[in-house]
Amino acid sequence: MYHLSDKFFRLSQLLGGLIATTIIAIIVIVLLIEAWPSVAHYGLFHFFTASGWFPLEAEYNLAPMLTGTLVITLGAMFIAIPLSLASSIFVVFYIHGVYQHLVTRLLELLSGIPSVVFGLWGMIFVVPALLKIKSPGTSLAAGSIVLATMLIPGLVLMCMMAFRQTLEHFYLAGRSLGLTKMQTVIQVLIPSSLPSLSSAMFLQTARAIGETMAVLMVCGNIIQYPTSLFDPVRTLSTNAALEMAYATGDHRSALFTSGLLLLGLVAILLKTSRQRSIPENIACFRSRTRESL
Amino acid sequence: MNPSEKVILGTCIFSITLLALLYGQIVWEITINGLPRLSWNWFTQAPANAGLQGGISSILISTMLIICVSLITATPVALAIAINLSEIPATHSRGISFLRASLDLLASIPSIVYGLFGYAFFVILCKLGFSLLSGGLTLACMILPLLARLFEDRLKEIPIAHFQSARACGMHQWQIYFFVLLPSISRGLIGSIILALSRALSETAALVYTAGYVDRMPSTLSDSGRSLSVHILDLSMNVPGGNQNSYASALTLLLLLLFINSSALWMGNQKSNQERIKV
Repeated sequence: MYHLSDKFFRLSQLLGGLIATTIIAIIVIVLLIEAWPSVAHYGLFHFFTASGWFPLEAEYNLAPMLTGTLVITLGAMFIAIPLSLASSIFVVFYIHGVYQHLVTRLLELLSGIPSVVFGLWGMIFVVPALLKIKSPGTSLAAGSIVLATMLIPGLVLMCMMAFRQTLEHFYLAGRSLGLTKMQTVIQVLIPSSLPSLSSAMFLQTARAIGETMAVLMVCGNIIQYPTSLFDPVRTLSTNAALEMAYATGDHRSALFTSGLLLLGLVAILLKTSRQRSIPENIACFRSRTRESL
Repeated sequence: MNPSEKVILGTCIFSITLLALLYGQIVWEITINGLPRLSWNWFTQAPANAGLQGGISSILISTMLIICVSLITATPVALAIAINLSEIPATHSRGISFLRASLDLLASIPSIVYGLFGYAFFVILCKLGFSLLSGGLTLACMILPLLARLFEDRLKEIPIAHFQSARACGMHQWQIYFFVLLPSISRGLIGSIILALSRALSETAALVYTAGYVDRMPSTLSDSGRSLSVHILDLSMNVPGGNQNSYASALTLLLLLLFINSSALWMGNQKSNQERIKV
């Protein structure tokens, strides 16, 4: 049992796990170290109370960018959630057999399309279309639309997975109670898969918050609080991507602070998502059935 | 079916049609604009004049090198993690549940944060400079959680009898894995690696500040090089009139991804070697 080779094997396994946790630790530590000079110099509140984002005058206010990020993400989720929920219901319950398989494969392919390609499409197609409504075209609305387009395939897939999990437990039960198909879906399956559905939505929101390149290409990147849907905005991630090339000193450090802020936001969303992802009602259902058997 | 149900069903049909039209439009737009540029020269010539002329040969090579570096470094680590995760359930060990949580966090870190980290850590602290190596290593951190998850799923598909009977033959643990279990899921493992490759291929934000912007042909791994997705970004953002070639690069990327994904699918769908092993 305790052969030397076994010990080595176990050791290499542990090493693998250690590397993964070390990477997380290094990422956080590196960001903290890089962000420290600006935080120590100006204090945390400076990043939300300064007069604006003027790196040359040592004013680093992240609040407009944070607002931009949150508003664009909200807009994207506002478009993406109803569309993907409705589509996933249709795919899971009204398309069968080979066709459902085919649609799933297509969605998987679409969810793998790089964000740059969506950005390119947004730049050539969405922005000119919005320009016809109101200039300048590169705007919050364009960002939300492109972001939603990027998120929808993944969201539909995750919703479909959530429905399939609850399907076997509740679908036949609902139908045998005399509910129609749509009633079963709306009144039984959506409530029972709500934990997984909301977990999926939180995960996709995290993805939207971090998205950089697609947003950079269509949003206009002007630092301001947006007052309408057609105002250009700049997000936290875009800001880091745009200014990292020439930033030095405190400016660079402030960009790392914004990176840290992004990381914090995503970690909070992930925590919320993980708390929700355990479908407890189903777990209870399972154990109860087992007891009754 | 009462009227309200009809309305809901109508909404569902409407939204799926809308999505079909939307994605159809995207693919159509890119194909119709990119197709005229695709030719033999496009793949064999180096980009000239900031990418306005010539092809993408050096960019394809850089992309390939970056992905090779990331896969070579990430695969063994991911395999070790996956073996760890598949053997011990999370409820039994604090360490494992911590590992799982950190993998989840690693998977959801925004790519621009990876970019910042790669820039500060690999480029400056490790003194690798803007190079294919630092880009590849940053990508390796990014695809590690995905790869570990995919490997774990494959490992969990192995019937427990394989493990037990190998144990009964008196094999050591590493022998069980390397001679029995891993060969039995080799196709699935390769499929997983291919999927991770497609993720690495579509990454942009993490590469701009680690692998750099240079569009020359790289001669060593410590040279800076531009990946295909960075090329698309640069052509459409920084080069006036670069849209045509940007479309062509996007089409190339999409075709590559299509090819990669279908080969991963083919690998996964083939009758796995598992069934050929007689227990």
